[in-house]
Amino acid sequence: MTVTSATGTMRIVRPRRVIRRSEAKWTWLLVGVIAAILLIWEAAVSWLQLIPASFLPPPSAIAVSFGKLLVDPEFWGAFGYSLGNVAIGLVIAVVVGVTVGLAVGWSPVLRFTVAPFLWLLYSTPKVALAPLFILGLGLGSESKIALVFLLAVFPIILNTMEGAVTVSTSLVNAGRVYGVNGVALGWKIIVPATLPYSLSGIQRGAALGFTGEVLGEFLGGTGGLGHMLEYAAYQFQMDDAIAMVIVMVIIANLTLLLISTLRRRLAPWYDDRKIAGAS
Amino acid sequence: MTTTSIERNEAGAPLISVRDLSVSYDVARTGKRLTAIEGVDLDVHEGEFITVLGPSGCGKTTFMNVVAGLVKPTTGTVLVGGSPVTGPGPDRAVVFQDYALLPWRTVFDNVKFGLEMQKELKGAGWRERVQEAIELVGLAGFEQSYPRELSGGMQQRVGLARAVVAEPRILLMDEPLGAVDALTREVMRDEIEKLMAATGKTVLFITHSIEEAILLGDRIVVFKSHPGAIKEIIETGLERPRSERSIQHDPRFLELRDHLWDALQGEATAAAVSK
Amino acid sequence: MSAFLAAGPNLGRGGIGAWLAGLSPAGKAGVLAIEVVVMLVVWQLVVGVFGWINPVFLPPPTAIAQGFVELVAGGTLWPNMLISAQAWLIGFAIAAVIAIPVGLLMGSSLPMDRVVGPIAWTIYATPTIAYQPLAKAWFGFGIGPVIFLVAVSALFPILLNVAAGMRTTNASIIRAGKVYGASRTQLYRSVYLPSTVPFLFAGLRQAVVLATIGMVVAELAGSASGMGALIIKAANTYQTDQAFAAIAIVVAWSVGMTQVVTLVERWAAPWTRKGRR
Ligand SMILES: Nc1ncnc2c1ncn2[C@@H]1O[C@H](COP(=O)(O)OP(=O)(O)OP(=O)(O)O)[C@@H](O)[C@H]1O
Ligand SMILES: [Mg+2]
Repeated sequence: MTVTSATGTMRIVRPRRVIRRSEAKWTWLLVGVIAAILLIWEAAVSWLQLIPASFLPPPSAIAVSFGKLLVDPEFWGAFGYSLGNVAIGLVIAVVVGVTVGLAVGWSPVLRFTVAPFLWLLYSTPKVALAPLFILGLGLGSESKIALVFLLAVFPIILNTMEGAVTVSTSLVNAGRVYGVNGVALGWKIIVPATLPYSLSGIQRGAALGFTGEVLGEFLGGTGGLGHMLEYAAYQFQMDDAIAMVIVMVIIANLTLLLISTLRRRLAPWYDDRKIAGAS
Repeated sequence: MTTTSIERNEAGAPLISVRDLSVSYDVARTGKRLTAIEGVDLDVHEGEFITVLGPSGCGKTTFMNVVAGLVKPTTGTVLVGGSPVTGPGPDRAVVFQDYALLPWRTVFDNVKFGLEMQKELKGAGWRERVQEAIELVGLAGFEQSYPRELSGGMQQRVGLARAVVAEPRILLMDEPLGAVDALTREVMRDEIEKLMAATGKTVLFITHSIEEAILLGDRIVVFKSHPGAIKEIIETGLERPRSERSIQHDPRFLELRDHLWDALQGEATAAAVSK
Repeated sequence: MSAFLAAGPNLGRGGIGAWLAGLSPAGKAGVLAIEVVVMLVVWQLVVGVFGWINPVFLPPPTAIAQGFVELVAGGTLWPNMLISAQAWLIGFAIAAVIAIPVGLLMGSSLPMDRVVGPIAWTIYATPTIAYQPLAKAWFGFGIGPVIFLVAVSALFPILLNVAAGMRTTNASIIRAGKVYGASRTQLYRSVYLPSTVPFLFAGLRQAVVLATIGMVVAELAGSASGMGALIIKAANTYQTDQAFAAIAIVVAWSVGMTQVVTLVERWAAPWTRKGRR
């Protein structure tokens, strides 16, 4: 399922799962396939020794590493450090992004003058600026928070802007007809109507912010999940490294789930599919 | 008012024969079954023009889709030319309510779609046939336009041309003039009337306009809703050729119009109350 | 940063807004060009002339231009650019070659969709940077991890868009195909595939952006060559003007490749007429 998004491209929205009896069959199939893959992997590495375990450790070794991580205080310290930075950067990005997005989406003049630059900055691979941030702000948390902010803010701005543009034309007229004006117009119509757009921007922004944090840790500093992962891979402790990757996969997917749940909760009337399609 | 039976008093086997047809849908979201139409009986003879009237949501499109072979009957039988309908076939063409044009094809290529699928592009003269159909619906000059460059009414006319050019025995039209402006509508109506009279095609024509139903139909099938079923079938018995102007003051026309008006209004209120 | 035209009391819906809306396309382009020039001049003044910002962190436009000249003269630009472009193109090609058939398969077979779909979504939701250290351990310090990261970044947007395109083919068009006698293969060829084309290009455009991010990340975090390595080397020696020049080239590459995809789309799917904005 896709929605046309502020990026002008289509963002794919994960199809909603409707749990029904016929769906259970597919869940079992999926579980079966994954189990089969793990089994073949285990067999190829530990029993047949087709691949050296130091290169690609078997699932059992990864599971052991994963278990060890969960009871390792150092891991939880890194976890808190990384997610703390992401959270701070993301909150600033949301505040700034939504404000700027509403303003630009709302004012035709701003839209005409500022929007093209926002587009350009949006499509710029801003990760390239990471070394300069480290250079300017040092190896501590500041540079990482700034990087999270920079990477996360543009999708939020552009999606909010798109929402505001969509709203401003039709809904606002409807609101005016029914005598809604001023602050009430903003509160009753613009904010709820742009909310789902902002949230999908935040969803994208969170993923990019996470990239920023991890990249920042790769490039310098001594704390965080990215650093731990990098160190494990550098030591060629592949079981530890893959366990760390699994941790990141879980974090990323949980964040995504959280935000889409939030979106469904806050804007249940909003249907991803309504603006779907490429025709 | 003369309400005729399901069979017209005419010799020979009917071209379309529907017996005790009902269709219900599984509504995936709620897990319930929804009965769209129930107990429909109808015979249509070769060359007949049947118009179908009924309130919105009463199952007209569903009925037509069954005849087209797109929806399977839940119970009952549908025979076309004596054999049961198992799927779509080249003997039936459909003008869809929502146009259903291929967005990536130009008007010309959309109109030739039916011929292409049936591999009839080899013989000579297909270009002329396509071009003729396009001119017939008044779209000459738009052959190379894409659907999204056309208005709703123009797209609907492309759908009409696509159906006509496939030269089916039976034309199934689902509100083919729904999105067309009043003037074009009148012209198109006359064209359809002439075309059908000339080619002797059998037509099932869904409309929301009482006047249109009378003007075009040999018989008018009136549907009721909840559940969808045939309420009555009326023979118009008006002289052909008809035109908007010539029948405007015909007492039979006025009588039919009042009768249908009452019938549909009753249905509409019933539908509103049952909600 | 370019809100100069919007400054002043005229922020409302009338006035400048109405005037701008009434401009011809050429006029709009002209206003934008003026805006760009004004922005560059102000940037130059703020950093280069008044020195309000330390030019090491944000060098003025003239310094960046100079950095570009230095890169070219120093002979470091071309080799690094070639290596990056090579890695990008190879990775992108690998992604497309895998993603398109698998996406089509996913779109036409329900079991495939239900098995590959959730796995693909899970990987897609994770920033590809997480896989970078693994790639480095497996493929060494050369071009290998860069290709890997580009391919992984580009793969899933293409795959998932193609599958979504197949799945969301308009039901009433499928019905029309059946009514007019399309066989199963004809239905795929003339209905499903064309209606997936816009989704494919949307996926490719998204993939261009993500692949470029993947490339930069891989090169920044452990590659001896490529644009990312060039940026890092320049930054570490406080030659930020060169770093910015290199970043500008990466931006140009990303924008250029997106443009290429859009042009190919215009040519291959003229009915969409949507362009990029
Ligand atoms: N695919 C479907 N799944 C579930 N229910 C359906 C489906 N198609 C139609 N229905 C239901 O069947 C009933 C009849 O629909 P149908 O489209 O045949 O009505 P209609 O008479 O053509 O209406 P209109 O005049 O508005 O076009 C409606 O209540 C509709 O909700
Ligand atoms: Mg209908």
